[in-house]
Amino acid sequence: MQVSENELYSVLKQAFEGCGFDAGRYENAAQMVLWLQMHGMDGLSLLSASLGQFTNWADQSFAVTESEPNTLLFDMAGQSVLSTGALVSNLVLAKAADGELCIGFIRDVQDHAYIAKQLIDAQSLGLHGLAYWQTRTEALESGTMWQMLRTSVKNDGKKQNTLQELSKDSTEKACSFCPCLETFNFSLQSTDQVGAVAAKDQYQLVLAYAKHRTQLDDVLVKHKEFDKAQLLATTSAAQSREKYQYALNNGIEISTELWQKLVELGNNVLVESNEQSRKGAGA
Amino acid sequence: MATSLSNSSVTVQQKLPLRSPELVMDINRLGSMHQSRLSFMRHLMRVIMREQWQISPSIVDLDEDGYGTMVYTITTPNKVYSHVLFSDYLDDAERNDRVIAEKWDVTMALVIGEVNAEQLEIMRRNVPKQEAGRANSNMMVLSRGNKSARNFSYVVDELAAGRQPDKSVLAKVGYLYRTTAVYGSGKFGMADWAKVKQQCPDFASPFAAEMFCCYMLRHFSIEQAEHLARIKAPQTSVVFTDEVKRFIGIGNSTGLGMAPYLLRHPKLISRWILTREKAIAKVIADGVVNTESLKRLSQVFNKMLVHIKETTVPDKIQIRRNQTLEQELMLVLESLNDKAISTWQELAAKAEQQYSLETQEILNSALLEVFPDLADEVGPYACIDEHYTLQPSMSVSALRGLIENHYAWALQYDFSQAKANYYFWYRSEEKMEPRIGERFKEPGEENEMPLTIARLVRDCYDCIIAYCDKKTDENESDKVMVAEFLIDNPRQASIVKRIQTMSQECYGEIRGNVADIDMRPMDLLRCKLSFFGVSKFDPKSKLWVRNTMFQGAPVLSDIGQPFADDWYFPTAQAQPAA
Repeated sequence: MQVSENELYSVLKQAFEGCGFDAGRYENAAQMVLWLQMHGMDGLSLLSASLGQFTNWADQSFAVTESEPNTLLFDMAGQSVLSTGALVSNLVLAKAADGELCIGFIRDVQDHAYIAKQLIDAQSLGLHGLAYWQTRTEALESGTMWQMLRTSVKNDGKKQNTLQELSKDSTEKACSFCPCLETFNFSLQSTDQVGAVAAKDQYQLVLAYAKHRTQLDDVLVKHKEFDKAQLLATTSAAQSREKYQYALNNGIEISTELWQKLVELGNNVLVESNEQSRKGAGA
Repeated sequence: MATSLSNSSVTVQQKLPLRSPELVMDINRLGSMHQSRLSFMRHLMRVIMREQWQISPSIVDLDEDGYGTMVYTITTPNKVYSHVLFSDYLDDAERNDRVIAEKWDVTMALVIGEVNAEQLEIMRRNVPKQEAGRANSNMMVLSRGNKSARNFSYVVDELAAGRQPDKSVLAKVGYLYRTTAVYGSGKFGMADWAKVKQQCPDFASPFAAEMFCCYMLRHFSIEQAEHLARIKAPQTSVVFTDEVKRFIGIGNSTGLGMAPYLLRHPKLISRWILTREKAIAKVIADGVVNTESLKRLSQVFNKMLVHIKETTVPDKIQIRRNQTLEQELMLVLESLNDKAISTWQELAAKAEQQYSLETQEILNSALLEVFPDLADEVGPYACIDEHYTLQPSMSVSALRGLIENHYAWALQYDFSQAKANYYFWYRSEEKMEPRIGERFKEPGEENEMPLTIARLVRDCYDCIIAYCDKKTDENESDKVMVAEFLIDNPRQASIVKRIQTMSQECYGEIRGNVADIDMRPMDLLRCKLSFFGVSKFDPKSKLWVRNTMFQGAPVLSDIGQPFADDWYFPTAQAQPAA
């Protein structure tokens, strides 16, 4: 079935509220799903899988330590980014605003891609954002698959084949009129060292915010294992905007089953109607 | 005195300071506002008349009982639209203006582009179901209406008998149909507001498409009444004169659902109120007081006075308010006749000291009519993205300062008192209708909607105090950031974001406790309806109100003719041109 952006947002908010999220969290979670879906990144499929996986959405406890200045370590105990991603992201963002660069290593977390909306919010505050993680949906015999999101910069149209080449173009300003992201899918060849890192951190999300874009490029440069990363696919900010426009013009496709599931979750916040309650609307 | 006021991207120089948020956003004052030339309906009519929209029926398929399908094609300088309307039989016993109704006399939709046979058939299957049907991304508005059964029958009988309906009857109930819900902004699969704003410039101002849909129902009601009179008495029936047609408006029933909208859109409300306040300040500062302007103001007041006198409502509170308004308008008129006014500021100050809120606010509406060019320099009302941005690096002490400076009004309530915490707002399982319940008597409190902003701010403030108390070193609490506070207090994230955002706005937060035992949701409804431009507020309880839209407005045959834009506060008797 086809639904509108506003309609989906309302249903998502109410569904998350029905899952036990409080006001701040159900708005954030709904926006995270919606942003991905509207920009062609399949937020609803990810949600469909999560709804089957998580039962205790109300739990939002996690541990955080500052291992060194402006480096935060989070242990999320298997939670979804939908649940506490905004809180975590805000802390990394605040530290970056205070100290120019902050990196968060967010361990044992699920649904990494939903962090996209947080990067967009950071951009509206004048900070650059970067997030990457190992994807688990695809695997290569000889290596691992990764996805990276970063706030948009203008592109001169030159084809780029490596992450390091992407980093060279660091002087241009982010697109100020329309915050948006670029997406990169890349692979890392399997070596004993990389393999060990990948296995250990396969649920880790790395999130970095910085006042200057070059600082984020430095984050990538420090990852020696990325030297040989092979860029497989990119989605430019312009392509992302096109997908948004298409969804806005034509509506969003959602399965009837998922829609019904969301509506049912949302029904948890509705109050039973009776003669007395009808008076509470002027009857 | 010059004041520089910044609000989002708007920076204006005001010769007069704007009225304070404490004064303007008081819930009682908001509940005393009246329509003005800035209102959405007035703006829409100016656009239609200026651009000479062409509106004509493309499908007329009504049977001898007036049931069937009507499609109107609307051609503007920018685009073509269709207004599709289905008229169906409705038993009198099933006629219900509440949101929870499931059948109506008419159902309708406003669509981008022309409608082909296949699309019309899909609409025929879905539009009459309203909330239970599905719309598509080319539909902008979905709405329905019910006949004012007594008035409709009277009018048809009069036309059939070859007579015009008595305008004094129409002065009491100035419509043949009432709209009972008007949906837009992506509801039920319709076009999102972002799409409408981007692709339909004709409806890119607030609620323009929704208002237009109501305007078209008004036109249909006139055509249907004439059609039925013709069938009833082909030999004797007449059609309405243009003068009578113009005096037929469209009724509207508005319930509690409109109140949460205001509470959830403080940025938008701030923008509208700011526009109105800037226009009022500009008119008061720049409008010249001379014989001509005093005469114009007297004419406007006289028209308003007659309109108020012609307004008959059963609600005792509203009767009293209208009586006071009449008496005070007479006093203002006397002072104008005595030419005892030297500046508009003086008149406004006198009103603020001596007259009721209704009179103060109708005076503002009147001044905007006297100086339309000045008012239009500031208007019309615009839309704004209702987006809040969290500033996570703000210090907690700075956040506390924002609350103390911008939300002192919220901290004055004592929520430990049962009276201050008496009601809770919730959504019913019946069509998710917003309702209020008595907290200590009714079930459902655990599903309360977070609309009591004052209490949410109070809770947040208390959390901040407790959090800072834990920090033994004062300097430490100065350095602690909001993001850190939220790790310990995640439930405060939403209200913190709102406080940070709204502290940058001039107006927006309604100064009132919507959980209080004395709270009148009616005040919130009336505030929004005044922006719409309705007249003849007829409260049916403190929870819902009937009113009249487009009464006095030009009819379709007036498009292309000279337009005086003086249809505000319509009266049965013609008034001298102001």
